[in-house]
Amino acid sequence: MTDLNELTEVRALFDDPPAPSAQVVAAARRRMAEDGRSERRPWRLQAGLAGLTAAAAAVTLAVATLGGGGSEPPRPEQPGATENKVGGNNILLAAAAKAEREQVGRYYRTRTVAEPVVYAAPGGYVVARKSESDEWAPRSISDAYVAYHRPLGIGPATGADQAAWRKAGSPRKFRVRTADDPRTITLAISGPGEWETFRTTGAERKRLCKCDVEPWMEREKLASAPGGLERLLFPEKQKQARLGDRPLRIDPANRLLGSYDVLTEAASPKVRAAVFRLLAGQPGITMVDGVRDMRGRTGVALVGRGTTIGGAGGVFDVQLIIDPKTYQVLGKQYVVVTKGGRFPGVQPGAVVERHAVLEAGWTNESPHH
Amino acid sequence: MTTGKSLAAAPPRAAASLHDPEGFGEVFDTYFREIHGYAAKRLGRDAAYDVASQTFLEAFNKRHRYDEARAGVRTWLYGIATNLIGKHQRSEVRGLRARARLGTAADRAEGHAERVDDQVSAEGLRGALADAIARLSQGDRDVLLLVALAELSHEEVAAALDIPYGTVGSRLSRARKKVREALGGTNPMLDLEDDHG
Repeated sequence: MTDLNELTEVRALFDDPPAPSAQVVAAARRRMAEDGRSERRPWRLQAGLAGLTAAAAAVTLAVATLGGGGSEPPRPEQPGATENKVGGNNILLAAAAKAEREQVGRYYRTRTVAEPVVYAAPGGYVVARKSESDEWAPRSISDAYVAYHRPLGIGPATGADQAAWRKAGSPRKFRVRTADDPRTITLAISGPGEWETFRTTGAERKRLCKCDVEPWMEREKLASAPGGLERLLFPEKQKQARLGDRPLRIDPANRLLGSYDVLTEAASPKVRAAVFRLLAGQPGITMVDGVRDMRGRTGVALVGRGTTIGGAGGVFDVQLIIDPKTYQVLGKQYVVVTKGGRFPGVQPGAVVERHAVLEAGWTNESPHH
Repeated sequence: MTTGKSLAAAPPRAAASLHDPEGFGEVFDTYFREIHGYAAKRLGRDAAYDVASQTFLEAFNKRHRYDEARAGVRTWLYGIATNLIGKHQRSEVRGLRARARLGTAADRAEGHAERVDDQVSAEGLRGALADAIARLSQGDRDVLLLVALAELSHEEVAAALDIPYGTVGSRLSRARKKVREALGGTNPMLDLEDDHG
């Protein structure tokens, strides 16, 4: 089987458009000459540019600012889960200390199982499309980046969903609505698919990046500057502030989602430790003991509430689950607090968009799975 | 994308003439077709004229603010164009979703509708890929397409979008994950109906 390369596939999707006609080029040139300011004038911010940032922010992260929900205590979502604020910071500080002692290897390997797409089925249960990934991000720009990926199929999301699905007569097909899109589609239960390999060679990475060091090392540089970690995790905030727009309030849910990305991607021990420490000092983030991840493992969840911009998408509690013994990140998931368009038909209390981290860390092994 | 590369290497002379209104014509002649092509790929031909001509108008008006040390002229123009494309976000997403539906329709025509466990057709894969790109956040999509279509380096993308360098890597890896989901998965969209979008 030949290896795939995501960027080549994306490039192939877009056909080369015909060149603009001579008239189009001439019209554009005329527009520039006639409408352009030829004198040096005081600069004014284009209104459109500020509006654009708001539009971009609206979709940049699934959950964003607005509601003051962050200060409300999240309710424990699962039987046996209890709120625990006191022990929480200790766990984060211990996690930071452990992260700092880790050794950088040749590859950062992240194995995950995820439900990137979930649907509410008419029978009152949630159906998810699941997949498994095994990603190897190299320390050196000269090494290949390799990711193995396979679909795990479509089926009821959790044990409770499985039970509800059986009660509904175990249908093989169901019509569902998709998130942020008013289409109705018919889904059929399916099983796991084949593994596929995605590879980008060192030479191609160098050509694309035109850099000598790995992007993850650059992140370390950024993170070690004053305020740099915040800039790394929440770039939109800085940009908006610079454009003079109303500063974007980064709510606790966004802090957790940004942190999850850095904690499960190639990053230096220093950066990972800094993210844990940053989380320890965050207002609006609470700790809940005894939260189960999608693999049934129990951990301590950092919980932060977020509302989609405009509120129509719903209100969620984002949970970042950590193993209290090994301090490994076990996963992340959303608990629906208020129904909305992001997961149409999904009831409050449902746990959706679950991601389980099976393995994350530096290794000296070569890519395989 | 050979045009992109050859142009990228081309003209320091364009930068030198930036501040001179007459000389700015050279910048236009060098890059207009390329920027127009980029906008046409993302938005189609009609919007491409608007975006490309507006890009050069804004660039012309902002030429005194252009910071040579920060970005090459080409990068700078891609940044302006990408910001303008962001204003057409809905139309871009609509276009991608239309392509996703085309892919699905092709699958159905080939009789795949009932055979979900099968690998989908090439058209179906293109559809799934278009759908995945439509689902990306605007920020992730911008990074993916600036790298894939314009072949900007990470550093250039950072300068073009005015985001930290480290963020480019994170966004790109997030976007690639979604693309893998689409390419590696069976097509979940078997039967599209009630389309009010």
